[in-house]
Amino acid sequence: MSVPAPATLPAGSAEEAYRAYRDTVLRLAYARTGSKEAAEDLLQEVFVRYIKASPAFLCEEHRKAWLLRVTVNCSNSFLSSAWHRRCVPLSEEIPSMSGETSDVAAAVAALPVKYRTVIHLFYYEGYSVEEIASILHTRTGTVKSHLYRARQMLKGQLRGEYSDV
Amino acid sequence: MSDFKESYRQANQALQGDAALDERVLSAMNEAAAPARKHTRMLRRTLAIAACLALLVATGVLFYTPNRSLPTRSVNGTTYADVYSVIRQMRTESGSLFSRFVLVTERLREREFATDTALPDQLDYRIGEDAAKNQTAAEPSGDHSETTHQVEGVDEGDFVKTDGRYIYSIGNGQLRILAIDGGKIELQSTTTLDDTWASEMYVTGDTLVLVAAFRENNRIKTRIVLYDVADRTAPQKRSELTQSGYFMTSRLADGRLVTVSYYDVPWDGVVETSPETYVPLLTAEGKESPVKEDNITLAGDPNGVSYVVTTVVRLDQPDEFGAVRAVFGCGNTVYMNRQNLYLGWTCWDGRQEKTRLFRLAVGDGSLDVKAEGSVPGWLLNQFSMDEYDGHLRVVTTTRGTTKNEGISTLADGKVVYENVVVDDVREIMPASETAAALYVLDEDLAVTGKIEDLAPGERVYSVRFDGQVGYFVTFRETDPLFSADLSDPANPRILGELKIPGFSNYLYPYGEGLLLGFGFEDGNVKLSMFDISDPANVTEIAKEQIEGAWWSAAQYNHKAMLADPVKNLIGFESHRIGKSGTEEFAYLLYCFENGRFVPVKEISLQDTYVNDARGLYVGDWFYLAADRLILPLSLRDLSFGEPYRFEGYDDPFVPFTPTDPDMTELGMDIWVEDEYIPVTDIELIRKVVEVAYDMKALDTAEQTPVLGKLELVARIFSTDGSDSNVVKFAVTDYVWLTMSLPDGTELYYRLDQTERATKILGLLKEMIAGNNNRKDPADGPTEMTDPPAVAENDGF
Repeated sequence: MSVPAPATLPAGSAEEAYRAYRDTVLRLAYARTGSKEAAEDLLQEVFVRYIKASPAFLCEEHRKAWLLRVTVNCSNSFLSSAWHRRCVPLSEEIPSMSGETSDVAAAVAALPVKYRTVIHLFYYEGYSVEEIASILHTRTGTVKSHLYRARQMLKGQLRGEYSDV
Repeated sequence: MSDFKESYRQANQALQGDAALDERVLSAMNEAAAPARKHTRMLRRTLAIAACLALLVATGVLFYTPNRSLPTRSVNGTTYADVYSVIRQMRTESGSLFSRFVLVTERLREREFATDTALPDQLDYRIGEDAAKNQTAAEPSGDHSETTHQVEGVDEGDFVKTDGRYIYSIGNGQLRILAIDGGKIELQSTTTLDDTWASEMYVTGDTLVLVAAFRENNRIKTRIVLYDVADRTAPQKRSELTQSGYFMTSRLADGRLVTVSYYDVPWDGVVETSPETYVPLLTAEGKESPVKEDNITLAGDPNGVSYVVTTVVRLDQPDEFGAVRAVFGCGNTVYMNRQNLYLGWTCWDGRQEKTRLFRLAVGDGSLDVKAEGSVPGWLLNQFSMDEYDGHLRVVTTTRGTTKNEGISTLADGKVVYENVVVDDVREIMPASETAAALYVLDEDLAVTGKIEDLAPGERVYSVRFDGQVGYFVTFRETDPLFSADLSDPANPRILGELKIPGFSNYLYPYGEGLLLGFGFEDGNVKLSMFDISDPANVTEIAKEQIEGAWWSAAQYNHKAMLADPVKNLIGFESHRIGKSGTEEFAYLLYCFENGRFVPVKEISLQDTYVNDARGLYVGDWFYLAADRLILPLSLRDLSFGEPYRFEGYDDPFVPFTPTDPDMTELGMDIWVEDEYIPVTDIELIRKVVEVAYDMKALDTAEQTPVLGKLELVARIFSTDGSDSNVVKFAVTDYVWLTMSLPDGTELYYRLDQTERATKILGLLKEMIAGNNNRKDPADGPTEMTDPPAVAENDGF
């Protein structure tokens, strides 16, 4: 079947994309790895992939979803790498954001990585369950159950001080 | 109490890149760009579009800015030449992203629409005596239940129906008719259907109507089939009609079936002189013809090269279409009462979402377009619309009105979206500042009154109109239930605002002065009963949180809910994490007595493989009618009758072979708990998938499930990071295999014996680890290529 090339967003410069999404990627990478250095490495990795793949996007929302998904993929590789296993104790340390510990950040950081991911996308990025499932390529039921379990854990850790978890 | 979301947001804001980081990353990017490759492969494009559309569909927003002039049009009827010129214009200009999406995403949206069927609402003013009785929609006629529907006198289709003597059920490509007599169920007939996608059915007297999507010559069509079931043991097919497009929704009112389908014009093969190449087709009595010019309406500012095709079939003249209306331009939400059908759709006008509306006449059977209009914001579902006393009332979620204004310059760090420039890309996302709005429109669909900017930051979660009062729930921070006085169409006003924790997904009138809410609070499924006898002072007089219940189909589909004030029965399915951490799947029955919810019966569906269940009743018997079984329950003594199980349910398994040359660049993630194992070897991936399939062969032993021990996700993706999503399988409390085959088919398979699965997956893990070390795909442990042997050896 011959299909004309789809219309895509004007490519814009990769630098513009970087500046627009730097912190978005950085924050998700941090939420998943719990390390500022690792998050910065991942940021670089994600945007190098962005340059290499030069993917076509149909809308800004798609560009962002692509970057978030690649961030998840890259951090998977990071979390499984020999370096990470050697250098980061598997008992999850409680990292802090920019040196300052907030109880919320600490509680999130104490969650298993898959729960941190959905919590971040849900509460920080403001995605719906369906959108998260679409970004993570998983079933909405899985996202729901992860969210449910993550909230239960957060509720326990935060001792009911927050009304919206 | 503090706000977790805000605290978490602040914690994140503290984390920012700095100039040093920018320099490092940008220089790495420059380096990488030097030997930049140009990817123009169709697969990637296709995936890009599919992924984008999935997101758009998920968010309910289609961003598309029309920026062209279109031929003049007449509301009722146009010419093929005009249609052709619009299509040509939309496709040759840079516009119409949407038209290109549809090419590759037909299947995606098929699924979307398959789940998006719903309908309208309540008091019907102009129609005569019987409808004028102040009945709520949930009140059935006779002593048997009806499919939960929105508007009295307007039936909605479902996969199961009862007429008080029989239960009719479609599933697995079959129509089954069962005689019911208390606790006894007797199969009368099983009829194999042409369409395995048959999803909606109606029964009226001795006539049974099926509406189904099917595929013909690689295009999706909708088929309407009438059966004469005077002899329940031998249904006779009487007529068959088809219309282009996939099935969206249907209604049955006053002996007229209204069927709505959604038709995308194919990209290839559009020829000006052959209208059948770009106009929807109808088939009656075996003859196919394009919709007539008079029956086509060109919407202003179409946002897709597609039609919403609405047809009327009179059940006493089932060999032909009684009326046809094809609206070119899109549409996704349908509300219908006995007089009018309202078609709504959300589009993006370059600044914000708005909902375009059409009013089609159904009371006279003509489907003539009577009016066209629009309101800001987007619709939640069919319950967002309601007609009363000649006025349409609509509740929408709107984008905060000031957010996108005054932004016109492109500067450092700013983002361009089409011709809109915003400071922060989140501003064009659905998660940005939202608000609720209510509009009242006259019969010409001109706004006569409105309330805007309600509940800033919140989104509409449920809506229900009850005559002169409208109720709606918004959710995010404060979760109010609003009540609005709509008695003066020029001056709607908020009567009250009840702030309660949680939200309701659906609201059901529950007899005199009561409104039943079904929703969520504190992570649990929740029932609420509201006293609405004084709409200005609504109170929640009872609530029941189902502890641990985190999901119910009734949160997403009103037809999955039984809410019957006459029988005083409330029923829904529930997935619950039990006290011991096990997952429990059950159908729960409640009644409402002495001001509180009283549990009637919990019907366990554990290990039944049931996907979809409905609660019905006939006289003193309740029937749990699911896709695989029917279970009677006496409402007198709460004893079960003999369950009836349908035959022929094998779990579908189709061998998978990654043959697409574009998919050779594959990888796979395997996670067991949080441990992650990457796999890139194509042969190994193939083997893993085969093993996954072969697990089916092991599913024989009866063991007590050991739950919640293991999670495994395997995902195949293309190594550049743009996932291709070919195979996934996950182990949660059960072993779930979820496979999306390249043709878009989704397969599910569930294994209950997690202990056994744990062993299998343990072996799988070893195999993968061993294989990755050796880098020799041919060298995998042989026992894993022979799953039956594994079964025997491990004594499963």
